[in-house]
Amino acid sequence: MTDFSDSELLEKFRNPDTCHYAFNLLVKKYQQRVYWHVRRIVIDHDDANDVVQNIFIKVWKNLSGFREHSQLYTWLYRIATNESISFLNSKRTKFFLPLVDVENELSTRLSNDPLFSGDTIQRKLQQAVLKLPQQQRIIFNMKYFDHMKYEEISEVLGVTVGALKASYHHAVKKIEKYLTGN
Amino acid sequence: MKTEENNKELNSFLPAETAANNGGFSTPENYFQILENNIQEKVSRIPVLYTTKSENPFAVPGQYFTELENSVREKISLTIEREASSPLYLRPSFVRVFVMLFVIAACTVTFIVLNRKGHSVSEKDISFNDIYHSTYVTDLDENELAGLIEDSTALNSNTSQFENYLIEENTDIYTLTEEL
Repeated sequence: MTDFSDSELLEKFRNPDTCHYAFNLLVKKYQQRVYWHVRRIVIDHDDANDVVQNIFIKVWKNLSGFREHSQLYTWLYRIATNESISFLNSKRTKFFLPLVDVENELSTRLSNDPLFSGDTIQRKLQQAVLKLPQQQRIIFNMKYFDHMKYEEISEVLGVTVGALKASYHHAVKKIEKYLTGN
Repeated sequence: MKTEENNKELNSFLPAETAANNGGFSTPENYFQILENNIQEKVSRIPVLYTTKSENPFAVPGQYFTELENSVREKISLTIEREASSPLYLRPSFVRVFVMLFVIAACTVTFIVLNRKGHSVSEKDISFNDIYHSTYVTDLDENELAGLIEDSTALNSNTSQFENYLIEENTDIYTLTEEL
């Protein structure tokens, strides 16, 4: 069912008779990757669910205009990242919160999250990741949890590979410092 | 049974240390205590992220991804229905085309207004009578005029002649314009 390549999916999507079928396959193929990427940014499951649904509606509206200059999944990741950041920003402006307060709120939610199945050290690691600046946090998640290559992250975020390496290095150092309590 | 007997026989010919299973080797005093400490110290120096699992620690409710597929499908059907039932002028594609046409029209009008004939007055269009009947000449101050002549980098022979004429004839611009 989901063994179609991206170009095959896009070809089917461009055909009006099979566009719904192709889109369903696309959702099936990418929903988990998109969801986990968003979940690590917004932390809360319900928020992630809302954001993911909006992402796929956006994808539905814009997929016909996708020109295959980049890979489909990097395009999806880009939309997912932008939507997640917009969600956090809207939360901040809605409640007139400074950036640090949003992070504190996310940290509190993480502590009380019933849908967190990790052990103590993994919870502490997530708390440390939340202390990072937003861009650094996203880079760290993509590299450490999604095991993405720097070139792929560069395509998603539009940042040079060198800058990404430096950013990841700083993120790792900060997390190490937080975890070891130094 | 035969093997055990053979071993007993062999052991009886070997030195006592072999029975302790060290093969004749020994360690410095408190070696194993020191080794334990060294290992613990070295392990503590390994970066924490190497020993922490990079697995996903978050969870989702059971059957969530099946439900997500259905939710996305439902929302998209709703979006399509809403777009189809909304008036033409409110549809995003129409609004986009309308905005584009408006921008093009605004640019065209601006271009035409700025370049319309007669907007910029060329020097050729000004006659001597226009200058004579205007207040421009009477408004001129002779000192200012002299200053302008001095400042001008493109002094030609006619300007110099005019300047010399004013000095030689001991006249000013008002007398000169009246004579004209």
